[in-house]
Amino acid sequence: MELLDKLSEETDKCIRCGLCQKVCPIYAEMRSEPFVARGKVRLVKEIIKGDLEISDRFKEIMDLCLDCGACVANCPATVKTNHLVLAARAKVTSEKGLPLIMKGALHGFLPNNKAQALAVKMAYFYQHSGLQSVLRKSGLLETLSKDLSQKEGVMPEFAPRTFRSMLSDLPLKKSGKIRVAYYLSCMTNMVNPDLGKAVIKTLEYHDCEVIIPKDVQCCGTPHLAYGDTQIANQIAEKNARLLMETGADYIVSDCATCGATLKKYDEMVSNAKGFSDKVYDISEFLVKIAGLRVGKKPVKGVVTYHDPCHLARGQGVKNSPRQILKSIPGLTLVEMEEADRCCGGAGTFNVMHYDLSMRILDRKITNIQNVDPNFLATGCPACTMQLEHGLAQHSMAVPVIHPIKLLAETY
Amino acid sequence: MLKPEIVKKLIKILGKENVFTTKEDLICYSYDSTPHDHLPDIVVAPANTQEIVAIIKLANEHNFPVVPRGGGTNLSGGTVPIQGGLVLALHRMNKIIEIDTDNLTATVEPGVITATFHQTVEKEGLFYPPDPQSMFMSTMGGNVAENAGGPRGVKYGVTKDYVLGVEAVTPTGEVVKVGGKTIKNVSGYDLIRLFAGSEGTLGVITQITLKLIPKPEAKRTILAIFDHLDDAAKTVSGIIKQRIIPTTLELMDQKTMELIEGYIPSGLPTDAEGALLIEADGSAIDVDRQIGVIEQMCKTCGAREVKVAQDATQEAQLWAGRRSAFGAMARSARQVLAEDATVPRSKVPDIVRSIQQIAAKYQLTVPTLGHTGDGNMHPNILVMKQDEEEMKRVDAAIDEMFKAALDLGGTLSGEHGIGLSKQKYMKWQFDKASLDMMKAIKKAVDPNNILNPGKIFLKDE
Repeated sequence: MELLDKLSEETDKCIRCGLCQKVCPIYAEMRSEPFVARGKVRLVKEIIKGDLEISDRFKEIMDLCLDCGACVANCPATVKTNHLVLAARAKVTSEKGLPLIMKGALHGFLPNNKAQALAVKMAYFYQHSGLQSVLRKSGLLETLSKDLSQKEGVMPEFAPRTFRSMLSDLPLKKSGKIRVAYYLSCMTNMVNPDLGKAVIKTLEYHDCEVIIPKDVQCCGTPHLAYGDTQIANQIAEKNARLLMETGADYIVSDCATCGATLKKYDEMVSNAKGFSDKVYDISEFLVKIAGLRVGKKPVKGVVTYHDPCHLARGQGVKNSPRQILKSIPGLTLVEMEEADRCCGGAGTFNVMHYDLSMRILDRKITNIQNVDPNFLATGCPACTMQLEHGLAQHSMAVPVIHPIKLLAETY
Repeated sequence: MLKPEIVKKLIKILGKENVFTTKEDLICYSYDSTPHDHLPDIVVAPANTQEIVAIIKLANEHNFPVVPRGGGTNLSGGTVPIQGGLVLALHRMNKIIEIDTDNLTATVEPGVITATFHQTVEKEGLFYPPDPQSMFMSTMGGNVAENAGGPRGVKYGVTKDYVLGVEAVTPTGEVVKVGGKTIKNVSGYDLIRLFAGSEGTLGVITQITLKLIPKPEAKRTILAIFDHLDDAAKTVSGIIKQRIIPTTLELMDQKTMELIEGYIPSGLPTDAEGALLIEADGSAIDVDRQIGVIEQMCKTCGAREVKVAQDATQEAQLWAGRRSAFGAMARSARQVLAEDATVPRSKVPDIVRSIQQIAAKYQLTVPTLGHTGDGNMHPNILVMKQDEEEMKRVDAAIDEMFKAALDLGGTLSGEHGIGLSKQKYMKWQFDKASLDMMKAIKKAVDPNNILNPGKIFLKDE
């Protein structure tokens, strides 16, 4: 009831000015009122009042939100539409339940580190055994469904081994000026172990002692996005406990989305008091806490930076990654237009709503094309997957890379 | 509820994917930027003029209301389907059909977003001046139907001054085409002016031809702080007497500045009665000359401080306070009622003082800002509780504000329109003969009262 009151107050803040229409990437494509914040806020308000019931159409409308936060940032009254949408999804899930496949993913797969390791092996086999190329060339996927074939295209390139399984072979320094717990994200674990290595290298270069609690789980964002609050809270409780037990001064994440959610743990669960204040995005930590140190080896070329929604608006971190990029010898940062506009990836949004997501992505790709960079830097694995897919579709050979990986190349 | 056979016919005209009947969709088209709301029976999104003709013919046959809608950001209740019926959502008709650089005209569909239109013509070195503050959401069709204004009105006029031609579907389902690409055109009645500001009651605008002008080469901004409101007003008439018409002449009163400073401190004084934000545009040399004269005039008239922006960064700083004014108001109240009573330029200090007295009398917070150059003031009533007792005071205060504006030789609305919000004041501004003439026009073109019924006029008048 208390939550409902809080949400009700939030919906009352909307003065219906419509300014959200200006910035919503979904509205820019759909151009109809249910798909902009003003419409969604009104619908949630009607649900709270009891004048509207949860329906398929309601779910469909609430599902079409990227949680990019652009409406919140642009709202004169700062109505937190993204919170309202997540709450609405939680209500839908509690009433209607989750589709079986989603339930499997959220309950069984994502929080299960062993399952992730197995999946990585299978995916790596699929992509590197030739099966993927055979399937793609055969046109079988397209015959089965055009949709399936497109979605398969968004799939990231998996690593041969998870980062977690490499940890025992990685010697970590046992001392340093600052004790930092490094939160291992699913994507660094499954797709981008090199990023994990770069983060450790960079932190140690900054005289940090790095502690990596191996048993942390998925941060819970997918669960929140699909309205599975209960599991999300269980995860938060466990992760907060494991990370606090390290006794670290700071908790650092290399994933924009995980970082944003870790910073919300203290609102989600009772054992995380004071936890979220310790959480920093890696770029933010280096610039604001550790004091940025750059090596001498140059990285030559032009880089442009894409702001992940969950970093720019989710955590208010815009300058730190840019400062890092600007300080790298040989590298020139050229800003693209609308750098902080959502790329349309948004977790699994691109898989669930492929066509719409690609229309949103097209605008981003055009903005990147106008800069014509050698590197595209961004600090979010979901954005990375989406941007790589878009660049490949436009036959642009621009690597998408985490700012920390570029920084680590200077050492 | 529309009969199933009507819905079927609409689906046949528009296709299933452009006809919306779920309660969720209806709710989303039940409101605009005012507190008014009413559910429509159905929402449809047509693709072209022919579909609109078919829809309107059907409406006449089965006698249901049709309410055209653009961005839904108007401030008068104009797009609220107060008698139910069908909402015509025009967002699919959003093509800029032509920019004619020989004749300096543009032809657009009604669903084009105003700011998109600005950007497109400015890329060609051209300029479309009307700049309603909802321009990032509002549509060109909505702008014509509401005859939208904006800060640049003082120098460049309002939407109607730029409409050269209109294609519209009449309330009985005929297509009329009036005007064209010529600047001069006195053939027949000026129906273009009739459509401009018709608030969707006389026709659905389906195509608009607009006049464009060359984009001014340069612009510069001045901020002047005044201890006394009268000095700010003297400055405005002083500048005009020097034969200079600035692009914008924006006044912020003390309450507005207090709110802004409490939200995002922008260096505005909270102990001064008012501030003027003045922008001049033209050729680079001429802008410097204008700014020199304006700066001198501000000082002569008793400004305690004058800041002249030297570059784009400083210009943005000067505008920062003004731009955050609406946010500052929005977060300090449950509801902001933006009024737009307008008076002759020389009466600005009188109306501001009246507004302040009325606010005090009814214990309301009413920050006022406005386009003082054209006398178009925006008293913004901050509704704090929205309970019955407060709303009574709000209503009484609004009544008195309009009376004050009319007593000073002004008008009910400078740029927002009448819609639902100001219907009851129409008889204060107009005598019976004038009102009867307006109603006769409505009756003649819309005998079945199909298009946006229940707006502008009260039923029993």
